[in-house]
Amino acid sequence: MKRKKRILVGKVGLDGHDRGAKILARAFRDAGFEVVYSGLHQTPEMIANMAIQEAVDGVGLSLLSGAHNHLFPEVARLIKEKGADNIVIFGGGTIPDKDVAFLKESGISEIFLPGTSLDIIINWADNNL
Amino acid sequence: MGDCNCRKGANPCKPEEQKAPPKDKHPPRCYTTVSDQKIEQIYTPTDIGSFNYDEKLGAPGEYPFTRGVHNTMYRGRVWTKRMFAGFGSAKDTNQRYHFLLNQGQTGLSVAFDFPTLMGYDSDSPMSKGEVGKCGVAISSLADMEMLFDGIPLDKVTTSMTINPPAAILLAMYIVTAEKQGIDRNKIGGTIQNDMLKEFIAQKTFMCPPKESVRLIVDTIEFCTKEVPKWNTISISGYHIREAGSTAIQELAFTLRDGMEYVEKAIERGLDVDDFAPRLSFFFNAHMDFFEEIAKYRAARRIWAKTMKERFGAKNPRSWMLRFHTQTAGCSLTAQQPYNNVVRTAYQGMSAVLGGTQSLHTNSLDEVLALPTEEAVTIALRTQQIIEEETGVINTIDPLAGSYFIEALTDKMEAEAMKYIETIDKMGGMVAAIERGYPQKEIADAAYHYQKQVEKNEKIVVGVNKYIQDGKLPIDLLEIDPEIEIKRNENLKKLRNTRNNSKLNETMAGLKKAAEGSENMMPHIINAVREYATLQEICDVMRGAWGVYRDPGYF
Amino acid sequence: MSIADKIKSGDILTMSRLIRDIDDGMPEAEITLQKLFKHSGDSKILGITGLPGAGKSTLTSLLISYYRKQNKRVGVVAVDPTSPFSGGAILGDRIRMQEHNADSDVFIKSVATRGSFGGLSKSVVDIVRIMEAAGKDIIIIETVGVGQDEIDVVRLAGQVLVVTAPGLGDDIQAIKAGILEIADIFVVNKCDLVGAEKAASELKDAAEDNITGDLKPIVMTDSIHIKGIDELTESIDIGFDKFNNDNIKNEYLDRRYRYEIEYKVRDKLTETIRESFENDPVFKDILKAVRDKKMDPYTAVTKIMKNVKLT
Repeated sequence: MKRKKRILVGKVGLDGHDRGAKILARAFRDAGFEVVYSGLHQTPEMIANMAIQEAVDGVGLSLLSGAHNHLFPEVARLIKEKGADNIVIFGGGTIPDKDVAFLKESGISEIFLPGTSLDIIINWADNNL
Repeated sequence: MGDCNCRKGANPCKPEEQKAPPKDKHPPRCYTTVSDQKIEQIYTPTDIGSFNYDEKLGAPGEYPFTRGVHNTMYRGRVWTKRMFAGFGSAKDTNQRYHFLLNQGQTGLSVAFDFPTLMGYDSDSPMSKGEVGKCGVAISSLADMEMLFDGIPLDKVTTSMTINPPAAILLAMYIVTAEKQGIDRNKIGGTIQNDMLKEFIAQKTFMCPPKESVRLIVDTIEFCTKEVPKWNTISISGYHIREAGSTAIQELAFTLRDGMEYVEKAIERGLDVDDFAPRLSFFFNAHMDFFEEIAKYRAARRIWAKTMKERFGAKNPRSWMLRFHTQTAGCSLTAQQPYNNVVRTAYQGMSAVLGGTQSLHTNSLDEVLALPTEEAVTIALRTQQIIEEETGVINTIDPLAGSYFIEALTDKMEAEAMKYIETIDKMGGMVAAIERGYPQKEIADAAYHYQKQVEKNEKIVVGVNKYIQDGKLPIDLLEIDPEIEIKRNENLKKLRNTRNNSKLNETMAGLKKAAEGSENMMPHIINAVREYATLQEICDVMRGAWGVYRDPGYF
Repeated sequence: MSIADKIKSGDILTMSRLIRDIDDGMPEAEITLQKLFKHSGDSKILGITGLPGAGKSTLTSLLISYYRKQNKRVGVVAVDPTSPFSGGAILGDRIRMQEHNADSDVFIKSVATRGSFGGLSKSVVDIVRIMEAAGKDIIIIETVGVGQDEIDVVRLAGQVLVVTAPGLGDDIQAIKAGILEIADIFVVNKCDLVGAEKAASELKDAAEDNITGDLKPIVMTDSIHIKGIDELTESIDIGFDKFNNDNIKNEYLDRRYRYEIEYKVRDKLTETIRESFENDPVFKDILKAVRDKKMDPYTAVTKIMKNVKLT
């Protein structure tokens, strides 16, 4: 029996830019995923709780405020701490190249830089979740 | 597969107008604007019908102001070059302001960090990781005094991009001026203070729409009487466009927001001509050159007609739509970032041809971080080249009378009015927001555009065409992560050294005003003067009015 | 600890993973459900249905707050439609319940219909069972926004709220009589908007109970400015108090389990017949005979009913 893929598109922190997150949520839906969208202004704790209650395969975080180096690793840490280390976390937004290595060391599986096409993100999710 | 997937909106492309099927991965070129509005191959006199000059355009500085709000336009006064800046601590930003003023900039524009924008102090748990990242962190009057240290507030005008706590930042500015010995009736500037577009697009919100509008009307009422040179609201389409709207949606939703504020201020008992001249607008300058110019011209015409006919304004200054423009951040690319200089130059040019009163040109690195000093300088020079070298300022509204521009201006006006009527029928903008109408329209448009880019129906140079391997290195501004710790210490000290019993008195007055209907502004000023923090004041509002949370419309 | 024991202890991770297995149709999940059955049946189950845009989720959030103030543990199942085009779904209801995201005694589960009709997904009955076994005092089921379908929630829930709001097009006319009949309580939400009074008065006819002639409650609420919630919760409490009467409670349980069993039998039968057409030579022969006009479809149905191997 083939499982339906489930994903949480999460907005963490105070950043209100949701254009990218909403586009991504729709694109995942149109690719056959079940998408839970968190809504804006969530704390890392809230994102982790949602990911676990919803038993998603992956969490996609979008952030354009520059606070990714604090908030992304915090989400990863909390999800792991709550025992769901099977959940794959990835992210995107205004993230400079130089931060990618640090984020990957902090439990984020992949970072998509500005201008990445939806196809690339969806293919990656298809293969890695 | 010869169709282009044009918007099924006002004027979709017909399949038979498309060229042969594509041989490569690029579909046939679709002759539409960036908003997917169809453009004809040629425009002729038939496209503008029986064109009545006085009715459609009028002289510059005269109703309906299609050609501009001043009779001399840029010969009389060139637009203000106002570069948005703010990062890290108040001290860092103060240094940048001194630099910009020395470079020939003529007005200041403050960018705040997310905690400040959302009404949290730097030491709140909600602020962790965000302090000073996207702008300057201001938590109390002490920070404001530092921000404008050595800058006489009667000599500059200051624009503050702030919304839910706009009244508080204005109060801090008033008290900072007071401490410089400058009376509040001498200071000039703008607070953005436009909450409707926050619910619609930018999503920096705090309390529910109705209560948010009440606070805005409080500031309008207060400034009309006490701070006459202050622009109490900058009714903004910029963020609506950045959230992915079309040009027509930007135009329509922004103007309808403006109408909502005018309605509410009149309901408060204000005379429209007492406050309307201080209303100003803020638009986006996106990539599509002519569509943008038509947008600004249509905006002036709609506003003039609306103020005169719908609201019965008698003072010609109430009919004028004055606006600030910022080039489109969302059009910038991380790929081949130097191309952003070119994009910004064309966008800036469209704003000038559209008659803007002030302009911010984005820096080439803004898609990745806050701009460096070097990048900001190039952006400012871009404006100076438009003014000094291109000759576009020599004559007023040079594109007037072009069949294309006039037809497009008419079309933008007509389409925007359809949206405005729809929202009127819903019972106004607050009602429309509560049912998610503008939010959904924008989300649809944003997804539609993204799919067009994915299918190469819309081209973004360097992203889906003319892709280049390898990256061009650019230096990025780094924000000191230690700033959070330093600010926490400062705030702790502030809370211990201020006169807390005097503060508590002012806070009690504030709470009473929030729960009742008294104007909030005098109470906010009193609290600010006693060094109440931003969040302390916001918490009073949240307590009295409730917290608005993202309904997440799709 | 077994999976069933972990669930009884309220372990969130185990609960959510089992629910996922059920939603995905993993056969082994049923074994755990069998063990959990005797620990279920005591929670209060509240169904919330109504037109799209009526504010069901926001109302649900306010009800969660009400029960949390009484220290009750709350489970929510929020159902959104699956896209018939892609098979995907955006599950957006819980956005409006976000203030409870940090509360470990509120368990919210978003599910997609995955082709089921009736406003729920196939898995909802089992999800409710798991939440009951995990000790949730109250379980709220929010259906997809419906106005036209027969809805299943009535058979599962102890009480059903039908939510409407002014300005949703044809208002009450858009709601089919069948849905009006199942309501225990009517809610006119967004009552600050123009047309609320009219919507309430239009509900008056529907609110009269056909048998007893009693008037069902019609409550006006405004979930943005938090008005009318006390009146609503009072009506809900009165409704659940009726279950203290054993006859009423048994009537409800009969309805609920009959629905569940019927649903599961129908589901299994559909699946068996579908598989038989693919694998069973007898079925293939019947089909061929109909195609060749040697047998009519009516005779075929009788023959198939006789040949179905009910395991």
